[in-house]
This record gives sequence, C-alpha cells and structure tokens, in this order.
Amino acid sequence: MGSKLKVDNVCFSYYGLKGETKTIDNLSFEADEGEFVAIVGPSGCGKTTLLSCLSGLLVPTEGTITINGKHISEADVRIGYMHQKDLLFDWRDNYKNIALSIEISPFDKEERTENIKKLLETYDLKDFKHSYPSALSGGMRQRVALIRTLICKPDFLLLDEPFSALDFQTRLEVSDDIYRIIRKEKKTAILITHDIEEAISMADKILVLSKRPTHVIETIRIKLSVEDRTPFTARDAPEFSEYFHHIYKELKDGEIG
Amino acid sequence: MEKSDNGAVSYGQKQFMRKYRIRQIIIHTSRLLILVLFIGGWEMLTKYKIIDSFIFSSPSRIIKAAVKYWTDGTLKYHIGVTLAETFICFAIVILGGMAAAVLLWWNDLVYRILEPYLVILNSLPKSALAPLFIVWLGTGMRTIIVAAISVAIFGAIMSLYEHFRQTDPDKIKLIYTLGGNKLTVLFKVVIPSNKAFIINVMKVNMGLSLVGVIIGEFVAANAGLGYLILYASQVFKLDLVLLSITILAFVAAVLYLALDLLERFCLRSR
Repeated sequence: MGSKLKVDNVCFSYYGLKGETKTIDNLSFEADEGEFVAIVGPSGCGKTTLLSCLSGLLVPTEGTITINGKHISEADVRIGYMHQKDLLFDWRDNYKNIALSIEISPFDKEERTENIKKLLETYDLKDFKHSYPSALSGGMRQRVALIRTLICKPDFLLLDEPFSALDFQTRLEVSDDIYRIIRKEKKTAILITHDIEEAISMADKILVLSKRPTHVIETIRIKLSVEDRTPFTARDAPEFSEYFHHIYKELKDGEIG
Repeated sequence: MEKSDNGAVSYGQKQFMRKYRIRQIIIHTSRLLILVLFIGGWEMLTKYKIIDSFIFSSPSRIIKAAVKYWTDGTLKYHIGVTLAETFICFAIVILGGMAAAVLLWWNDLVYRILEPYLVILNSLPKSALAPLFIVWLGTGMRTIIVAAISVAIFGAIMSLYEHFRQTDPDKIKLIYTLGGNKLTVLFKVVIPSNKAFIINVMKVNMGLSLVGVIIGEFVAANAGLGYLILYASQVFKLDLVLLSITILAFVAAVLYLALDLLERFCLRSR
C-alpha cells in the first residue's frame, strides 16, 4: 500500500542567539501513491531538514504536511527512514541489529521476526546472521540497515542519501535492490541525493531545490524510453543525458542566482 | 601454532615463536626476581642489623604477626569492616552516579543549573570535609561511608554525564526514526554504547572508594584496616602497620581483578 503525501507551503527556521536561520521557504510538492520522488539541491540547502520534517522529527514553523489527507502526527502510516550511514550498533550482532526496529515498535512481532529470516536469505546474509557488523563490507552493512528499515513494513520510505557512503559498484547494486523492492511493493518514496544521475535513474519525478532558504525551483517528470526500467538500464536511455544537463544547469543557475 | 598450507612451519614463523618465548621468559623471571630481591634484601638488612627491625619490621616478623593476628580473629574482623564499608560506598557511588548522570543527560536545563556546583564539589579536596562529617555524624561506619562517597561520587557523575552527552547523535536519530522515545534512546543507545566506559568508571571508583574508606578510618573509626594502621603506628607496632598495608594491597588487587573479569565477561562478544 502506498500513501499520498502532500507538502503545503512549508517553512522552517532554526533559531539561535545570532538570529534566525531560515532554512525552508514556502516549499510545496506532492507525491502520489507509489511514486518515487527524488530531491536534488545544492549542498547545505536544507534537504535533510526537509526530510526530518517529513518524518515528523521536526515540526515546520509554518505550513502543513499531510499523508492521505491526515496531518503526519496523526496519520496512521509507518514511515521507514534510510540514513546516510548504516548506523549498525557494534555491540549487537546483525540479527539483533535488525530486531532493534521490532523491539522499538512491536506490532505483529512474530510475523516480522519470521520475516527477518526470509530477508536475510534474499540478501545472501544468512551466514552472517550471528556475526557482528564489523565483519561485514560496506555494501553488506547497508543491506542489513535496509532490512532493518523494511522489516517494519513501512508504507512510506524516506531515503537520506543512503548510497553516498558506498563505492560505485556496491552503490549500483544496493540502489537496484532498493528500487526493485519499492516498485514491487508500490511504496511511496522520497530520495534525497546530490547525485543527479542517481536521481534520474531512480525517480519518477525530480524536484530541484534552490539554495537556502530552499524552495522548489522546478519539478521534472522523468520519462525514459527503456523497457524493464531499473536504475541500471535507465542509464542507457537516450533521454538520460538530456535530463542530466538540464538539471545540472538548473542547479548551477540556482547557486549563482 | 599457526601452520602454512603444506603443514610445515616456516623458518620465519619459528624465529618469531622463539623470540616471543624468550621475551615471555624474561618478563616472568624479572617480575619474580624483583619480588625475591626486595623481600630477601629486606630480610637480610634487618637480620644483620643494618637497619633496625623495630622501625622497619621484616618479612619474617610480618609473617609471624600475620599468623598471630589471624588466629586471634583481629585481621578477619578489620578486613571485614573495611570491605563492607568499601562495597557499600562503591554501590552507592555507582548507582547514585548513574542515576544522577542519567538525570543530567535527560534534562539539559537541570545540568546547566547545577554545572557550577558540580564543578566546585568535584574539585574540592574532600578530605577537608572529614572533620565536618565527624561533628555532624559522629564517629563510626556511617561517617566513613559518607566521607568515602564524597570522595568518589562527583567525579563519577561528571565523567558519566560527559560520555552520555557525547553519544553519536546519528544513532539517537535512528532510534527516533524507528519510532522510539527518549527512554528507548537511553536503554538502546546511550547505556549500551557506553558499556565499556561504565565498567571503566566502576574500576576507577572501586579504587577511589577504598581510598575514601581508608581516609575515613584514619580520622573517625575504631575498626577497619585504616584504623589498624593508624593505631599500630601510634603504639609502635610496625609489624602490624606493614602487615595491614600488605593486606590492603592484596585487597585492592583482588577488587581490581574482580572488575577486570566482569569487564571481560561483559565485552566478550566484541
């Protein structure tokens, strides 16, 4: 089940002794059920702040965020958050790292515990169930982190540059995995990235943000003429470089202007 | 021994093992030698009257004293008193220190308000408070425990709090994004990620508790190893003074080793 997200004129400011830092300025967008939205913007423009607002960790100074028509604090949806770092705890083995999310929000505990085993098999991590994160490579660690997020069956996924710490090859593999899961389960997903290619290869829609205080400069629908689209095949689409140059220029102009 | 693929031990590996064994032998024999030379030298110096065994005692006199005071129950009693006081003080310092550090971590406002007082209390030489405790609480076990707690607890609170505060903010954010609250953060991240440090604080404070208890027994006791040392020195029973100090050294070492075992047990999974 996907969810429809609506962000309506959101503003956010950090307050400090030296004054107010306006980070988000009247930002609005929508994400339909099952839609994959990528957000690109110059570094330090407030992308992570926006994601924190979407996950309910921060409350916007102005404006509203609703999911399926309900305010996020009351909406009955589970939000999955993939972080930039894998954030595995080195004092827990891999299995217990995944189980952390079940311990914290214990709905249908048994079913999900059963699920851990299945997912570990799917990702070739079965043999590492009881080893510690320090024994895993970067890509495997990020997969364990992915299982930790998915085990809660989120309706709605927030991805905060989850591939940026990986080497190029692993990055392609892991983003392929995530893309398939999100498509198969028709989840709504918001991806934050500074990598334009990654955004085009995965998203249905890209929002280009301005520098701080940030707002949407342009919304671009991505239509690629490839069969059986995956982040990997998407890169072969004839439209790919056109989108790339367009977004690149947009970001560049945004930084100057 | 590690073997290479064909089962034979290589020349380099043999050399390495030989060097390692020689090093181990040097370490252990030297340790033993220091002990033997120290005790033997001491015994000889007093036997040939180069130093006065009435003032400096001697290993043989200490052993004689040990047998005498152990059989009449004096030692057992005083060791028991010191250990009991140390354990009570240690337990209160650790439990109270943890509780206070958690409170300060939980509520930054409370920390900001109390910070200057904690800094002053932490840097004040606590032995200066001893006379005050005697006036307020009299002499005896209660005064000694309060004095010993005052020696250790402020340092424990400050260092635990500092480490709690430095917990990786990204890991804390992870717990919130998984739907946890502050209590979950405390029990799933803050305490487990600082487990090694908490045990370290326990080690330091076991030592400090013993220091505090001995200081307390010097000024306000009629039992315990500290009392025994002070009393015996005043009546010039130097055998008993040195015996008590030797026992104290053993007690300190055993307590340290016990916590070392606890540490290995708790951190064995890593």
